[in-house]
Amino acid sequence: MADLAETPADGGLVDETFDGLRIAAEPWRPLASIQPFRGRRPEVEAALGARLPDPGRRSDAALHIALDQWLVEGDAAALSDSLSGLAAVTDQSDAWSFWRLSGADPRPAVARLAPFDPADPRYADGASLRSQLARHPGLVVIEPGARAIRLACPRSYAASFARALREAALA
Amino acid sequence: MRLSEGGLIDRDRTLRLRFDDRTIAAHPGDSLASALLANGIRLVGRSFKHHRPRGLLGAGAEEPNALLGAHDGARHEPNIRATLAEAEDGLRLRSQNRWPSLTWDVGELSDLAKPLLGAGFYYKTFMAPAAFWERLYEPVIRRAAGLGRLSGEADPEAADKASTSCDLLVVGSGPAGLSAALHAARAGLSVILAEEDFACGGRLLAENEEVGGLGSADWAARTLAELAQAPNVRVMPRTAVFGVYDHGLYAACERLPRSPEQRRENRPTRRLHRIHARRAILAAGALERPVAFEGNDRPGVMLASAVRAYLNRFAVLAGRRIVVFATNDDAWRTASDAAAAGAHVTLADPRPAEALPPAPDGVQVLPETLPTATRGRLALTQVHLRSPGKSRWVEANILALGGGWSPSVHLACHQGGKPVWRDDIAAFVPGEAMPQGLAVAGAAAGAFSTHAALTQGAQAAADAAEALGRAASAADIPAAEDAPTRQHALYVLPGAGKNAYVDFQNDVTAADVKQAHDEGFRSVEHLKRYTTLGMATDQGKTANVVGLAALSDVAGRTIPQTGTTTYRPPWTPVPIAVFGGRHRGQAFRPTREAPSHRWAAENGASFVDSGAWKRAEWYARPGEAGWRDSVDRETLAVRAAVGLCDVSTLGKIDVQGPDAAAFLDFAYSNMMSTLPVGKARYGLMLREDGHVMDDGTVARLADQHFLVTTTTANAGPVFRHLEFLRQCQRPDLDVALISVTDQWAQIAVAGPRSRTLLERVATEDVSNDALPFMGVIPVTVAGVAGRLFRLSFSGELAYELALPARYGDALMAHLMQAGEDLGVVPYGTEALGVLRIEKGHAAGAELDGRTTAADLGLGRMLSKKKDHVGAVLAHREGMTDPDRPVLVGLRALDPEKKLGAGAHLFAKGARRVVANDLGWVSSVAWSPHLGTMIALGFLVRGAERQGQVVMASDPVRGRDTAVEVVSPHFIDPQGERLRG
Repeated sequence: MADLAETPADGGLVDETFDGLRIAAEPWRPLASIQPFRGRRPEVEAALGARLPDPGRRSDAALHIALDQWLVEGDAAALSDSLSGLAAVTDQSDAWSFWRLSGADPRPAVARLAPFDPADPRYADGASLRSQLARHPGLVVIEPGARAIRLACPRSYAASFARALREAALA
Repeated sequence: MRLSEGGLIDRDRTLRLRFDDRTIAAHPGDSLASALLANGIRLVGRSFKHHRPRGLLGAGAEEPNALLGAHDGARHEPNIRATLAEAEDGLRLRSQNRWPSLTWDVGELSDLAKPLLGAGFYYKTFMAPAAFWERLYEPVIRRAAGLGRLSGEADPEAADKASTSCDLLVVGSGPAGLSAALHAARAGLSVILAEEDFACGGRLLAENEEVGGLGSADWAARTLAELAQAPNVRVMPRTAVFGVYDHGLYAACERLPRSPEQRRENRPTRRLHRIHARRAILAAGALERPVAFEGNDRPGVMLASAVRAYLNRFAVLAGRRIVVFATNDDAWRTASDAAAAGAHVTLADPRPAEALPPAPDGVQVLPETLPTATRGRLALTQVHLRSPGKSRWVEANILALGGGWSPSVHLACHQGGKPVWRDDIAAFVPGEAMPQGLAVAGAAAGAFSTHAALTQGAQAAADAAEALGRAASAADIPAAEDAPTRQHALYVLPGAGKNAYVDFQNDVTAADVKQAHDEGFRSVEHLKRYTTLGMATDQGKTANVVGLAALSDVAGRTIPQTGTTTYRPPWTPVPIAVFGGRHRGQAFRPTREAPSHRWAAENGASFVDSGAWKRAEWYARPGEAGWRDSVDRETLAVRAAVGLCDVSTLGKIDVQGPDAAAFLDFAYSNMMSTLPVGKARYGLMLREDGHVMDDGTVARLADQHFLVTTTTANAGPVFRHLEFLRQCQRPDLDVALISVTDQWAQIAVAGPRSRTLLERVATEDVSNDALPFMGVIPVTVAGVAGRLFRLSFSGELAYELALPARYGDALMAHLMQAGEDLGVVPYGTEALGVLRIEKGHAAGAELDGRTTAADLGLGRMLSKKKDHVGAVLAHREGMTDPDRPVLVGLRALDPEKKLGAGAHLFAKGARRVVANDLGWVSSVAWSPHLGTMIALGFLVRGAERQGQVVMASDPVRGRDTAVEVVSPHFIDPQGERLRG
């Protein structure tokens, strides 16, 4: 049996530091989308053992990514079994490229990509926001206290977005 | 000249700049303007139209004359306002709009021709011959007139954008702005303090006065230090807030000084800020205006406040012999400060002696006196003063004009608000209609004393805090100058005519205003367009009120009766590049790469833009003379052996839920609920108007689980359409949608040997029995789980193999290796297009939004057993007309003749007129299989014309090609290959 090599989703931006701001591509890990069927959200949350965060919010268990749609870490097939009849589950492990911005305050760099200010106090407790990022479709995950921000784009945009991310990191 | 002490400059360091052919010295803290003045340079430019010598008029954003070109080569930037730009070591500056030199400018001849160049001259002259306008007149006029010129090269400087938010945006850092920011900060608001100058402090830096027992500049510095320590305050010098937009959005442009090293790193030199402010305070101060009289534009004629600013902030005495013309008490401070600095000062004031303040030490005061003329070719030498019963020429190298103050109301009026006139201060102030959440404080509101500004700033901050639910901090107003405003309304002096300039930047004189009025341009908006009064880079900051007064004088109206023109963004010029930001060149728009992009690039692929995608269009091989060789080879290989094409770019939408089948029945024209699990079906999607929106396949992966594919171009629109149906039209259905386009690397494996290849790589049985045409099975390749669809776009036995996207590159390599002895080739979008045209598959060129299912030969796909989007309107009159052009195949009779998409079809011998138009050619390819050009097109009564010859007429490309009408299925019309 041949082994198939994996192409990373980092778009060429693996781990670089700009004026103290470290931008590191996150390694591949299983991700799945969860969309509870009508009226089944409590059962889904019970099965997951965690509450699904409100729109625009994040939790340690899940990111809200769209209307009635969450992203969780975990094997899609296993989740599909455990949530059978309760929610639509899809494998999203290869659909996204994630980078983590940490070290120096990441908010100014993100403010140069996004049409909103990540330093707005309403995001101080953390947020998960779908947004255009330098015209790329993106996801902004602000960790509580904004010590770090995770940025994501669909995998196919990774190289293009990595270029924009490098530019935004130059204050 | 620079004084030996004083000023807010760092005398320990000396900067060297070049201005035209001179090297000038400056210090950190100098503006370009103060550096020029300190070096005795008073002639800084030539005027726009008349090429008259011009010097510095102001010291801030209002400056109309001192526009310079900075840097050489590609970095050259025209129209730098010398009063706002700071001195930099090594900076190269050039004067503008002169030839061959600033001192000797041939264009000055136009000043002699002034009688011919009056208001709107270009509307009345150069009318004939008509052909001369574009070829001669306009080029000559454009060359003769104007400001700076662009380099014509790509700008190497980077710009970017940022989003910022705050509780309170304070625009301006003078006494009102600093007071507002300080009180708001103490109240706990998040504050942005934006200042367009490179130093914060506004007039506090320019005055010789005390605030709170400190020098005004020291008080400003102390306040700024407190603000700098506050975590909730962001002080932004070099930041011009230039526009107010809806919902508290303010646009600002920040200049970012950069070292050569930072420029090499491509760091931005300008940044566009989108500031979302819950509240804002306009504390932009006021602009002093000149008065209009003969010869009021010579170098050396300055605003009184500017003379004071150069003296107090930069320690530059503008001249040794100064005449001050004051229409208010404020300008007297210029006389006082200049005399204290050692200048010989004469103060002329139109008011009677009994109305005047006590004469400052060392100042000769002339009551009831007006300036009526000036002398000096390149610089002022004399001023003519006229008093009752006496007139005289006075030696002077500076004439300081204090014509009154105009509050900077611009931002307050950007959303349509009109300013209102106050006679007591002879100025417009903001009216009641203001942008929501914006307050005005200080001189911008007509409160000209320092104490009033400090008080209003604090009050506006308190109001903002209260509005935001915060407790205001205790008002802390330091002792400060609080003189009443005593303004004598005077704008255009008696006798002002053809050399009495109202608008310095556009060379508009009092005579021009009168002429425009006499010619019927009596509305202020018409006056502006006809004379250009108030246009260009300064937008009439010093000109507007004087111009209104001139118009009012000739029209016999008051200034408020005349009214103002409309205030629009930007407050100050903003380079277009700032709006583009980083989105230029390669980053003009985002791009997407398919999962096997790296493999394709390493294997000779050329890429083509398909929406945002970069798709492999062909793979060149050594020895191939051109793209046609590559495409022909790839096409024939698919027909004869097996080919691989990355089709991951097709949209893939996962549809799940108890009502998923019903939902798809509604979205598609044909039935999907009857599709068995493990099977796929071609689907046709209509718009509500009955036209075809998109096509694709629907695969049923489980009872309540479907996978929808779309065309590459329509992936986004189809997903949006389905979401609209889900949320708005069929909220009764319980269904979940999500894109999985990026999750999967999907490779088309097409050709008669495709099954053999897949048998080698797949663990599962892929025989015809196990996986018949339009079947779907789970599959494992090299230990990786995926899906295998038996679909064909080429007309050959074909599959689409899907594995997670991270394996895309490796999967292509794996398949190529496994199929080497089978003759496997990668093929690109060009071969894909040839194959689908040969097979007669409709694609984007056929699904152009104008075609119906019947046009495409798919009329039977409109199910009558169910409702679906477009079901009603697909049957309306006109949509079912038998004379509508329908899809046909077209085959060039002469293989040597070219055929192009877009050609229109005519009967042989018919005139090429619309009435004879029978249809059009939509897709064209050279078919290596058939050895001729083939096409798909739409032809009236196409089915009946099979076998006939029609003409494909392409007048744009000069082609007229005879084509035979044939079936659109050029190969395997019975579909035996793909089912084999």
